[in-house]
Amino acid sequence: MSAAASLETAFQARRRTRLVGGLGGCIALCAALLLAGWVSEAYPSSLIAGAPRIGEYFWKLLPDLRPPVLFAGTETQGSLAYWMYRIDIWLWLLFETSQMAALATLSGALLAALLCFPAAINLAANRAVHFAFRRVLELFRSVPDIVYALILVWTFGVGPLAGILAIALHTVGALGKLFAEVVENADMRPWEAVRATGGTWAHGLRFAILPQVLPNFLSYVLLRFEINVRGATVIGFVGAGGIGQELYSVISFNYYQEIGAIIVLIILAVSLIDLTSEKLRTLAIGRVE
Amino acid sequence: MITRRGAAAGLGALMLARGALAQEMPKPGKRDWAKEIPVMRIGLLGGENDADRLARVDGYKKLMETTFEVPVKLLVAADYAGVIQAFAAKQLESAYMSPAAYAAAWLESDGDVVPLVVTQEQDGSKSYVSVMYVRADSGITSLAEMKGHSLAWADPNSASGYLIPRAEFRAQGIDPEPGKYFSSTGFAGGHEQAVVAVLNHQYDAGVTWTSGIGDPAEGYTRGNLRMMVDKKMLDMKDLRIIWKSRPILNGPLTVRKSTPASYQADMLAFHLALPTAYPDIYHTFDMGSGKGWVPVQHADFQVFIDMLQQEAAQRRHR
Amino acid sequence: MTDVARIRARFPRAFGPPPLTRALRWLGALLFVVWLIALCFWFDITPARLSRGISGLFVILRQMIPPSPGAQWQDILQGLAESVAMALLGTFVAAVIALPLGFLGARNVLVNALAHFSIRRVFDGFRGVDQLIWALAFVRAVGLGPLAGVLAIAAADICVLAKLFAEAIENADPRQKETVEAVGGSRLLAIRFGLLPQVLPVLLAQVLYGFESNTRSAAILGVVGAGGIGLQIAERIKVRYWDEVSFIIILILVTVAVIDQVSARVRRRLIG
Repeated sequence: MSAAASLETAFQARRRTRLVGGLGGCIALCAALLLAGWVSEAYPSSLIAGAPRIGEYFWKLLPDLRPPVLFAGTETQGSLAYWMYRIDIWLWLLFETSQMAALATLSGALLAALLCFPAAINLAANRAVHFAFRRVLELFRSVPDIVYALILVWTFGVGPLAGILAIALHTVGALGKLFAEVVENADMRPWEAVRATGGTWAHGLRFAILPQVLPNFLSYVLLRFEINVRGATVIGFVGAGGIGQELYSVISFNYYQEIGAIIVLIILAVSLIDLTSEKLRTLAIGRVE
Repeated sequence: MITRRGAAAGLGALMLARGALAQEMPKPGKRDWAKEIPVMRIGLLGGENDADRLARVDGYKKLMETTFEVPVKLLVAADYAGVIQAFAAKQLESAYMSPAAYAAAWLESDGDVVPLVVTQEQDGSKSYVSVMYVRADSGITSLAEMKGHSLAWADPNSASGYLIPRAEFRAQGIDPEPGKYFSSTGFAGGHEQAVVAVLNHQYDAGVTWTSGIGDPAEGYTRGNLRMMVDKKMLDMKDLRIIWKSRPILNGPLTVRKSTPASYQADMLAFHLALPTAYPDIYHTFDMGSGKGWVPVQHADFQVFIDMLQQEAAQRRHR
Repeated sequence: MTDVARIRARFPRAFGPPPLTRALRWLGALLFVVWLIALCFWFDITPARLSRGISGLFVILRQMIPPSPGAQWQDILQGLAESVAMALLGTFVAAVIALPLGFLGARNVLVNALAHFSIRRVFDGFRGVDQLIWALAFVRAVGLGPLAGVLAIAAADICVLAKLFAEAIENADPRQKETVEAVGGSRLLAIRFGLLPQVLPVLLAQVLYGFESNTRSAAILGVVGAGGIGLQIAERIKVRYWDEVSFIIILILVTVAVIDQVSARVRRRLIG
């Protein structure tokens, strides 16, 4: 009986401390949110004043499609062809954007693969090397790709090259960290076996580690490609090529229908790439079995 | 956003004492329209560094604050498109714009902008020109020789850097779309960036604004080239001017039409009197050798509105 | 026949792939190289351009050291505060809105297969719209300033979080819910005591991770005028004050690292 009673009081006591802690946390969160709201000028008044304009803006983006003439030619207002009259340019730009993302992901992945092994604590020569390489990867990862692009546009010029390099640089950091974690989680016994039979560090890498980590690497690379396609669509905002430049122009000109059309195409393209990448990823991971 | 009221008041008092002779300057004091406009929001373009811009605008801003006793907030946009949308969203009271940006703002806000004044140059004219420049060592000497070369536009909402050259090329029978007469065209991200892009061999030519008067070797009396020469970013020896446009009306100081009429009248009086009442503040703000401001009407800019609408219509015919 | 030859006859695959596979692999490699070369031509990637760019980059890097805050450092601090505030508010709003949406998108809550499928596709669709695009649209709608940034972060994150929430709810162990219902609890109680305790830690982890990630992306929204430190960076790059640019970048790195630590600690206390 007393055991049950003491359990009950202990439970109540713990509950109380948890509630108080939770309440304190909630108050802290509310305070932080209010402060954030003030700093970011997110006043309810401006939000309410701006709300109709938000609706108005997105309403203007919607195409003016009229069912009777939906499949008429480019000259007829209301048809799909009229809405998507620049679709050849846009599809080409989307293709260019996807290729930019592909090249950037590939180059970033290669460099990341080179840098991840010294960054992994189980393979690094010593702690200092591990620390140094991890920090370098973090540095690459922390700078957003747009910031890279802003700077690279100055040195490499306006156009896709700056965009590819910018995304690649960021990818080195992002993938490098993930790769290093995969390597750290690898089974070390094959490695020890190879080293025990006289293999060098490189032999150990090639025969013991790589076969284990490659499927995971591939999966992360594909995931990164999905993210990089999104990044590549907007990197043109700062002049680094792809459909972003076209999107930025039409937004500047306020050609609303075209803005809507390009956004729809971007959504479709990204969805397609996501689906394909998911299929490939299950194939890659499935191969482990 | 840093309103050092104490210093502003002291400075203002000093300046008011100096300017006591200018009768047209609005008398200091809070106005009725301050109820509807508790903060005056002025739109500014980025593209100069913060320190330069603040130094340039500071005297002007403080004078306005002391004269009308209303805080002034400077909102910086990366390009004209931001300023235009801010006007349409009623988020700005005034901004200094290019004539094409004014026209775009008028279209975008359904007519909710009105031009007040434009700069008058030293020689009395109220216009500037657009020029096309190439690298001096490129061997291109005329627009005719530009066939098959690349051209950099400055900004989608720039009259001199986009709208006017296109309209004039079309009138001459040159199709300004990429791949037609010019091998490729693109936006370099601003007037300065376009010059830098041409110098870096990224584009063969660019278009920008200058006063068109004065010594080309110094970048003329006013304009983007002159500003870059003054900032030591450009040596005019590296460029050659191969084309000039017809005169373009200077860009207006624009205010939102939905502001009270008394506010607009006050703004007009303030700017008309500023060059004579406070010449130092005026010259710092104006950055050039302008003589003063003269009033303008919306009708003066109708031609730009027509050009914009023609551009939009032309876009569909490819 | 020698031993090796005999083993080879019995286990041909242990000695390497068959000739057909090898030929296909060579073909694949060739196509890959052709693709790379085509891209280099298309994007004008020449050694000359690369070397010119890299030397230009070194010039910039040299000018970046030492980093200096410059004369307008208050603007920088304000920009940074704005970015963090935008990320906090935006992520919070997104989490609040994504929670009910996540429930709607979960197979074990909304049982109708067609509705579930369409809702999830809507999430996926809007996920494709990058935060910057939302930012530009909101700047057009509510004007320049951080409010547009908050809305952009919220809009972009709602779709991401909703999908993650839905997946977390779907992966939850159904037995806990069944237990509550078995002892007579209503549907709502089953969710409150059977589902939420499992799902909440995962949701919280996602939200905290989202906050850290959004702080980084909030730094760029300023480039299009949506508040935060992006505008400061873009302006200084325009006038080539590289030492101030490097200062801002370092500041962003430090801020993100701090938030990373804080969020890791919060995660440990709430979940661990």
